[in-house]
Amino acid sequence: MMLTNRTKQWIATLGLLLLLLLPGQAAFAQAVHLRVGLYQNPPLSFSDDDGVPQGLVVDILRAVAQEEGWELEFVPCEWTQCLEMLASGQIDLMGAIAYTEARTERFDFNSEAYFVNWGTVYTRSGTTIQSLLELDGLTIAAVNEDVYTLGLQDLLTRLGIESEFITAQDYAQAFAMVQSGAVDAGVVSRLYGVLHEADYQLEQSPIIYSPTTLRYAATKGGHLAILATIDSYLGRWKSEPNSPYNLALNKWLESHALVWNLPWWLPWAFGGLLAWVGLLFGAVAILRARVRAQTASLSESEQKFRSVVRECTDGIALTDEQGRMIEWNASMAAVTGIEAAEVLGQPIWELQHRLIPAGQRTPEGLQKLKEVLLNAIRTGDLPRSGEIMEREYDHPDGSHRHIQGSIFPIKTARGFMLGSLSRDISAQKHAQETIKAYSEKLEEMVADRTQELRLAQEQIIIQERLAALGQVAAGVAHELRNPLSVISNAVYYLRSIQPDADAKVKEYIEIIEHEDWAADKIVTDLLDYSHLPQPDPEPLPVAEIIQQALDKATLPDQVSLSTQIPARLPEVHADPRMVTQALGNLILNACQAMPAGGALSIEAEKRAGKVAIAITDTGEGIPAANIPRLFEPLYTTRARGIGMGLPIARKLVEANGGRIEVRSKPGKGSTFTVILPVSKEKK
Amino acid sequence: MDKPFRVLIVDDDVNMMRTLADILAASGYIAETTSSALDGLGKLEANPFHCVVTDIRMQGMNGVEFQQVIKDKYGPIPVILITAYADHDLIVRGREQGALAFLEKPLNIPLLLSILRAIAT
Repeated sequence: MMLTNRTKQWIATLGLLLLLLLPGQAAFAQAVHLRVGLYQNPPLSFSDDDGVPQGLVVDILRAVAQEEGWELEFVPCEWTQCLEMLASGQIDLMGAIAYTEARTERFDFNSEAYFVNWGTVYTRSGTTIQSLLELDGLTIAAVNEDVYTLGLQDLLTRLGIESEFITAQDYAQAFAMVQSGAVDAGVVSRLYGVLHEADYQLEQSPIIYSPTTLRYAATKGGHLAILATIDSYLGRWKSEPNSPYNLALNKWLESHALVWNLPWWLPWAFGGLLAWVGLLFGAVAILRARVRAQTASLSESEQKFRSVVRECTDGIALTDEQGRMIEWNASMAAVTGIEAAEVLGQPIWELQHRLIPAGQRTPEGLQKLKEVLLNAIRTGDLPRSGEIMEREYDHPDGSHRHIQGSIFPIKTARGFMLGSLSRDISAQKHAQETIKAYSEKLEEMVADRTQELRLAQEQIIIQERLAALGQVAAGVAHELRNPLSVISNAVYYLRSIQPDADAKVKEYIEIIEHEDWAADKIVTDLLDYSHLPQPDPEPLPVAEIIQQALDKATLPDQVSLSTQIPARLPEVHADPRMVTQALGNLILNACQAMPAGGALSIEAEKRAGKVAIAITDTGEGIPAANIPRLFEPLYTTRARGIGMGLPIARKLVEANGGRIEVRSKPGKGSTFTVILPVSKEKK
Repeated sequence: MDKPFRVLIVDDDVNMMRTLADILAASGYIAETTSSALDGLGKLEANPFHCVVTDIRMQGMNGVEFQQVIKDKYGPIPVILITAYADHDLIVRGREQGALAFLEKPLNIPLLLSILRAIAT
């Protein structure tokens, strides 16, 4: 059969109308079936030993259901499970639930309360908890999402009291946990508490709070009519003595002297409690404000402290009151080469011991260090506390460092911490050592320079003395040589006219002649030293000049002479008069060194391109201390002579490009060696 | 010596002058003495001399200046300069002017006599 489109549209519309109408007709036609959540909260709601639903809530609801023809299906569940099922619509209704504003967002409640309840805190017998404040730090067994659990938690939070809540499945388990000692206290409704406190030998504390009304709750938006019906019955039944409501109250609660009405004192108690809580809230608010301010101040102080520690160029370390490292800034890591991660939590004595050079560490040292530092933590008494000490340190990078540091106790509320400051002073040390080295070098240089200046000054003094000597000598020479010359003339004349004079006269004439010569020698020496003429050098055979010198000298009889002059010795380049005089002075000096007689030896040799003429005596020798002064003018250790012989000899030799060396052994004799340049031309 | 060899001795030290004159006289020389160059010039003017022995350092005209005057006025009379101590410059100047010898006091008498002997012969 073919239907037209219009026909199809009509049939569809009719079908839709039937579908919309049929459920409404069924609702009116069927009895109301309600699934009611039942959790264990005797005497309000529970399943008895046979699994039969019992309790105040059950009886009241059964009475209403009977009047209204409702079918009730009791669904056993745990408290939190019941709440979940009610919220999700798995059950329709639930009794024994306290009314709160918060819960109205999840559930619908009826208006008439059937019971007033409040929270109480129970403890084991003998435990005396008198106020909320005493719950601080205690463990409390409580049922999750229970209104009294939430109420107590809210109160404690507001008062800043920290308690640990241990979850109990229901009030019975909460009481069992308190009884067993697993927790310090338990939270239950006052109804459950009064009915069961004896079973668990528990005591109700004076802490009561969160007064609530017990009502019926339904799935949100689903059963407003049902709740309104329950209200209408409850409103009426409360005023009728034999109503199912009052019968149920008598049945379940009368025996325990519990009435649904508030006792006369309860509002006052709650009022007082609220006022007290209000006061506490005020006090807590003020305290919190202060704490916030203090916390902010502490936080700022902490931040400043952190910044200072972080940025400080000195190493900073801190321990806690047990001596474990809690602070180790970057500078400390740089100074020691040990990172903070390695040391935090470590005992300070182990670290301090680690900073000692490896070779000096001993178990006894560690033990001693530990004892000292532990004592400091306990008593605040630390030897050399805060004193800046220096020590050497083998840095992990292989370098050897100098570290300056101090360690000191810091008083805290719980005892003593230890603080330590460290600074790497290696560069400073190095600079100090460098400065010290420079300073020593400078002192050395100053000493050397001072010595040079002293010698120069002595030379100047000598030069001045010589200049003065020269002037005096020149003046004296003229005045003295004339009479000396007259004496020598007279001696010559007397000797020439009296060749046959007697021996005594001749002897005395010789004495006069010798003394005249000695006096003239003094004048000549002074003149020679102060007015040395320019040398007129020429090639000279060494043997010849030695012989000339010997000819001029008069050797004492008790002095023997030996000479050793190689035949093929090169000629020297010198002024003959000056060299002869120099050698003569040295020969005379040698003879004077041997007043009791001795051996005079004169040896010549070629030495390093020069000629050395050594004049050796076997006299008393010269003490080493006197040798440097030998060539000073007017220096003499002898009774006779003015000490000009050696200075003139040296001056004459040096003027000819040579030098004189002296070697002497006291008691053995001396050697004066004249070293002269060799002539380059043939004579 | 065929004829007397005349030596003029000039020295401001009287004893020097006298002893030297005695020595020369003992050796056969005719020695005249004077204590200043000016007097010496007077002696030279009055009598001829074969040789002059003069001190260098004297009051007034010194020996080297005296030598120069003799050379200028009397020609080549040998002059022997004697001195106790003379400036180097004066000695050099005397040598350049042709002094025969330069002798330091105390005098080496044998040397002086040998020089005079050499002049005289």
